[in-house]
Amino acid sequence: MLRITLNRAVSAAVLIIIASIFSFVIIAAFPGNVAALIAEMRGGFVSQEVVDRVAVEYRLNDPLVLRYFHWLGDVMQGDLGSSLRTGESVSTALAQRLQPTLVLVLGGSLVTLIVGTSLGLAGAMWPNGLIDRTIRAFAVFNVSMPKFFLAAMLIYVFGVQMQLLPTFGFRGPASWILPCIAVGAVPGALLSRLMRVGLEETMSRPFIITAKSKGFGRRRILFRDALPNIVPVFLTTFGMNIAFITQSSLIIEPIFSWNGVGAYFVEAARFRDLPVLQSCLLMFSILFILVNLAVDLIVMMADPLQRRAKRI
Amino acid sequence: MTTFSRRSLLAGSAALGATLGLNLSTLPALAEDGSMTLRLPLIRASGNLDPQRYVGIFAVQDMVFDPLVHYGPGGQIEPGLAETWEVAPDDTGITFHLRPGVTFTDGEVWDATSMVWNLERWLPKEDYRWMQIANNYKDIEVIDPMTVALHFTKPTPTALTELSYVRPVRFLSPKAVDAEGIYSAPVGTGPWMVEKDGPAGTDLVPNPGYWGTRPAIDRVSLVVIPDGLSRISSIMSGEIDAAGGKFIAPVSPQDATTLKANGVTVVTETGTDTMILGFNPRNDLFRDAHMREAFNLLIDREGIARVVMKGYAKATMNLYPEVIAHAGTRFDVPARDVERAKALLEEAGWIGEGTRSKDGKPLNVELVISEDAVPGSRALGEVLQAGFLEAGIGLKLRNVDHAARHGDIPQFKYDLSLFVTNGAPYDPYNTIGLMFLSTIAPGTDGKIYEDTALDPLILAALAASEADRPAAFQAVFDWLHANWAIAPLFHGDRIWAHGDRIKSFAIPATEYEMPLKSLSL
Repeated sequence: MLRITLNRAVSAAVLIIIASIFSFVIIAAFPGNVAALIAEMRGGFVSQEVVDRVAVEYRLNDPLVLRYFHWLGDVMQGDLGSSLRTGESVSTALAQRLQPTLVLVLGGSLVTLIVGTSLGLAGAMWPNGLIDRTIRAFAVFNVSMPKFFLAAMLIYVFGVQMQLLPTFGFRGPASWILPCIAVGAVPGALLSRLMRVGLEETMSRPFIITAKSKGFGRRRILFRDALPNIVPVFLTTFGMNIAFITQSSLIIEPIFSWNGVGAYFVEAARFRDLPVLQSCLLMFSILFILVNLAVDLIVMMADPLQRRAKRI
Repeated sequence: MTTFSRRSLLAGSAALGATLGLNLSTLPALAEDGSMTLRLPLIRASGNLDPQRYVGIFAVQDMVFDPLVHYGPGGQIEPGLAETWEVAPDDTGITFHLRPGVTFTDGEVWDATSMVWNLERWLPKEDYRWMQIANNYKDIEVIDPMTVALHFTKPTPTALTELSYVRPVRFLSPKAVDAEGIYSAPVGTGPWMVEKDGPAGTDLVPNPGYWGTRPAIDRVSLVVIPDGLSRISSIMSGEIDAAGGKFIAPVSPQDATTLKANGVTVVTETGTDTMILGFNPRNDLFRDAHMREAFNLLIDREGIARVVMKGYAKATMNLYPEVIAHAGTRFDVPARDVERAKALLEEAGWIGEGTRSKDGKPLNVELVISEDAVPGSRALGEVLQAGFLEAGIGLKLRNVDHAARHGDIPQFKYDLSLFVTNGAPYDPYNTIGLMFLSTIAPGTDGKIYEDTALDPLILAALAASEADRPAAFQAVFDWLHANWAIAPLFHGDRIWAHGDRIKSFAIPATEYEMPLKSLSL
């Protein structure tokens, strides 16, 4: 188990290095005059001479490879640089904005888990009945709906019409409900379908027929025999959905005016704030890799077949 | 192994419900806050408020830092930290008599020393040469502790207007910097003080020692709401009191229509800027006046104002709206005339069915649009595209972001582009000086048009004495109009929307200030 864990950790480290290259190059290679933007923030209307001076000062004319290693060296020392736009330390700004994003990711994951398991199990419990069909329709409706539209609908119904929940801001548990539902409902609907179909398939396998022949009830078979069989697939998909939820912060945070990392990224993208964009992208990549690593290890622990296969 | 009994699950659920219920019960209080706190949205965080940096939100800087003189309605210059002033007859200097008894909110005294300390932070620097007072700066003379004279190398009639700008001219406490002279805190003499500031918003409270009329509000709470739709929802739910202002929390014409339909009060005023379709002056295609006239005649300005801008705009052929000083006489807005435009294109040698061509080259032009730099430009571009197509002109829209626009426009890498004039308090001087004069290198916003024949007229207008100014500006406008040099489209309205808590409301003189002077809750 330790060896497998170490192997996975090494793979994750390699992926992180590749992610760092992509994070830097994709952002730095965008067309457009970043020096002009920086110069403009210093003195309003600017001449080409001032723009050229800024480009030299920020090493924007250096070769991309040189800039990458310079940036990587700073990142390795914990220095993510300063925002080109505000001059504030990116590390400090990210630290300030981490809490809302963590709440969104954790809350959204919780919603995903609750929606996914409850609807999936209910559908499997009463297959092809009214409940199952209603849940299926709900899941399809949810999956088809863009997140921003769902967010807007939630704001309109619960914020504007019913005035029950806040429409914006990160200001306590009540304000967390709508954003977490907005990010968690769609992956939850997907998971519910996965669980429902997985359970249906498992329920037709020979060992289930044996259990039925022994006279065990449907509920007992579903929970004790069928459910453990789909846990590895469920967990893997759930892990991927955490990454999906993290990405969703880019859309949901600005809509609900949460000043998290997602909103920071979007704001930085508008102003081509390279250090902020590169740091956010690197952070999202690392988070994605680590979540996948954790899910892999959990699945391995939960699935005896996989554990045995790795040993071989 | 830990197990959960049904009872503990129920107890847990009840506790969770109670917690949420407790929080939900606070919502009506938030929506119907009876205090004298004004809640306004901001498109982004206030940021670094250093008056010499172009980073912070203008309107927040305006709340904290005072100017020597204020820009009043219609460009009227009003006293600020300078109580009175005398302008030299040849416009080469101004003597300011400073307002006595004024202190910064950290106790530092406002006098000649603090004024000179502030001016020396930016006035001699190259970064600010775009302002005539910086470009023509000669020296500062301290006459006595409350009298200071500014001297210029040549006549600078724009000086008072420029001294009313928000940045870089506002005054910071000399103590509000670190040992290296770098800005450390937002300390000014203005009516408001920053109490709390962060990425989620800024809270400001009245300055108890303010020299002018004290605000009638106990607190202004500025909340960052970057999304336009969220701002609409927040007004409708009563969580914020108002939204608007181009650089504060914009309300688009579509938003205004929605809000109005939902019973929210929408207040508008004629804008101080103009949306213009600019022809690349260095492109051979547009050196021919026939082409510029043809393109002008293919634009349905009234239709754009009515449909794209939902009626929140006035169609125009003028560079500046009437609210700008010396904006000149109003030119008639030509009706869309496709036949005349076709005839002009043919005179210029562009013939054929479908997309016209000349010497085998099709008449395809590119319009650079940028929603970041010019909001609404995509919709406008699409309307123009349809209009030009009717006369056999292929218009391709190239959508770029802010940074890409700032790279392409100054380098004239476009055929057509949308420009917005600078508006109050910068105009009438700023736009014609920086975006038309060919002797000044293009800045990040580029040139709307340039021609060596136009330069002397602009220079004459910028240097004209007060008596000669209207005629000198009119000469510039007449030249632009006679040569179809630009295609002005409309003057967009300034839009604000507010909820029922606000009893009186008036849109301020510029887009760079909050509507606080006449506001009451």
